[in-house]
Amino acid sequence: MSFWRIVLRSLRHHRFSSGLAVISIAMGIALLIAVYSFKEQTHNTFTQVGLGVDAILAPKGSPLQIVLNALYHLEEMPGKIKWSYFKEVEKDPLVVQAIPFAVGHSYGGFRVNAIDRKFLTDFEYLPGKSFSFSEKDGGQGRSFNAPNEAVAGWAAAKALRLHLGDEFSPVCGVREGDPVHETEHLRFVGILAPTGTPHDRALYIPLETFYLLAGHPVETQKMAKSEEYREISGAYLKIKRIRGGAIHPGIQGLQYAINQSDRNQLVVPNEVMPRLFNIIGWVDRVLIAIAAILTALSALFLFFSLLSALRERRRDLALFRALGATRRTVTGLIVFEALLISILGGVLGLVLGHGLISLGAHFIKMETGVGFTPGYLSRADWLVMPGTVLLGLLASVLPAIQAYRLGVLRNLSPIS
Amino acid sequence: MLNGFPKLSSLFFLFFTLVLFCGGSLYEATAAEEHPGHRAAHGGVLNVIGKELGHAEIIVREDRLEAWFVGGGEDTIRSVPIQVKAIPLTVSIPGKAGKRLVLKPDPLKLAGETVGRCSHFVAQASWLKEAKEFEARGELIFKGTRQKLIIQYPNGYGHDCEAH
Repeated sequence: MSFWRIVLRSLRHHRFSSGLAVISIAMGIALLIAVYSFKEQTHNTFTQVGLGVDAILAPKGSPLQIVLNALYHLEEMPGKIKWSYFKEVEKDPLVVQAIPFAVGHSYGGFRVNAIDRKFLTDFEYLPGKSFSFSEKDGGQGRSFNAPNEAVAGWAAAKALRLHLGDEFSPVCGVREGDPVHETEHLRFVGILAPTGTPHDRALYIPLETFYLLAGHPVETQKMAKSEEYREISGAYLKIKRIRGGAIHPGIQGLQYAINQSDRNQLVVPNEVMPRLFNIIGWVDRVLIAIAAILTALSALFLFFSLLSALRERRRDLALFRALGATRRTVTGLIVFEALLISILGGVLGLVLGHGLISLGAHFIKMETGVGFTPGYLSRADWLVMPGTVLLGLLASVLPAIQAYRLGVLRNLSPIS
Repeated sequence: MLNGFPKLSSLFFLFFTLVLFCGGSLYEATAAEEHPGHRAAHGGVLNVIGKELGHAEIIVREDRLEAWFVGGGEDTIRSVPIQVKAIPLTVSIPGKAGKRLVLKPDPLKLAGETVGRCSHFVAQASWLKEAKEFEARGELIFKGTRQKLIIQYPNGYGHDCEAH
């Protein structure tokens, strides 16, 4: 009988305990895979991509709050900036695109971003990718052309069940109970194709509409006519690139100069988001620790199941020895049984882990607009198989030593 | 009979390879540490003014020297406008004759600065291209008091550890 056949038969014989060991290893691995994948993909989304915005011209206030508001449609903008100042910054030779916006309205729990039309037509939210209304991409309609027209991001349209031609009255504020511009009826003329970014989770209206909404004070309405009085919440900036696609180093000087002004600042999302990750990094560490403890416990479970299986099989193994099997062969049976269990657990863990990501990604996309790829391979994916093999080897060390030392005569002596 | 059993030595080899592989992968997490201390907003050289009353951040590119007057201590990213129209400097270069250099205001318009209330100064001289090392001295009214301005390039003046 071949060595491998004996290993497989032994596993089949102890299928209950072996199955439990496989499942417990798989659960630990799945949790590790999911946590690592979410951690890395979140980090990539929030730090490297930058959602197409190199910098945000904004009022003085918390840079993190500004990034969360301007890019992720959360929080609130701490103030306003002068239109004339925006125009000054727009003239800077380092600024290749500047898109002004005004926030502070909402509808159905989604933020209404009053923004320059260029955002929907010329802006690249990822290198080489602009917003699309094409039906083949999943969009509908067109960009807004008139003050009473609006466009919905994909996730917002889906959640609010919006259709082209639907009308809405924006809420003047982002909190429950804020007044509604009841006499205003803006019509949806476009739904953006999904982008997998938080841009999907907002509604967009023309910038000038913001000032003209009935119910706004006279000062705000004056901003529509006179650039002198006009204020905006901020502006998305694209900065000149150098060879290799990197942002021009002159951004340091531009940021420094703007930050010295009394009312304004230049926020670079790629500088701010890593700080957020430093603050919330402990959450990742706790989750990874839990997954690691679970995996370690599963190794312990494997160890005990091997040990108990060995106790049951002492007589069988002694018989093998009597039939000519060497000590090494008997030891190998135990080691390879553990290896097979851990490898099966590892493979099942990989499948379960990515299934978990797929499930979570759907809900996260609906809640935040951030897209996660279930097939993304994180650092943990590359470590799973070597790690589980190591786990199996470690768990088998003691049982294997016991098998090596097994006394043939003692274990073959009659039981009764 | 049993056959097809792998050698124990290959198992040990596998074990130690895995330990090294997994251990090596975890190592990188502890490698990155932030460097504490003063931060030059433009990546230049910081020179202390007075007793850490402020700093002059200096960058030399080709024949052009740029100076930003900033706060003291670790407040090196906040500008300190100077109310002068020029800052004359006496420059000594090792092994060469002394030179003169005049820092002229170049207001940061986006910061609302003007000539006469400006934190950014520039100077231009052809000899700067070849000057790998120099010390420049002058005087200025900084935060309301007369202070000596000492610029040591490229190491900076008044700090043990510069160019963070």
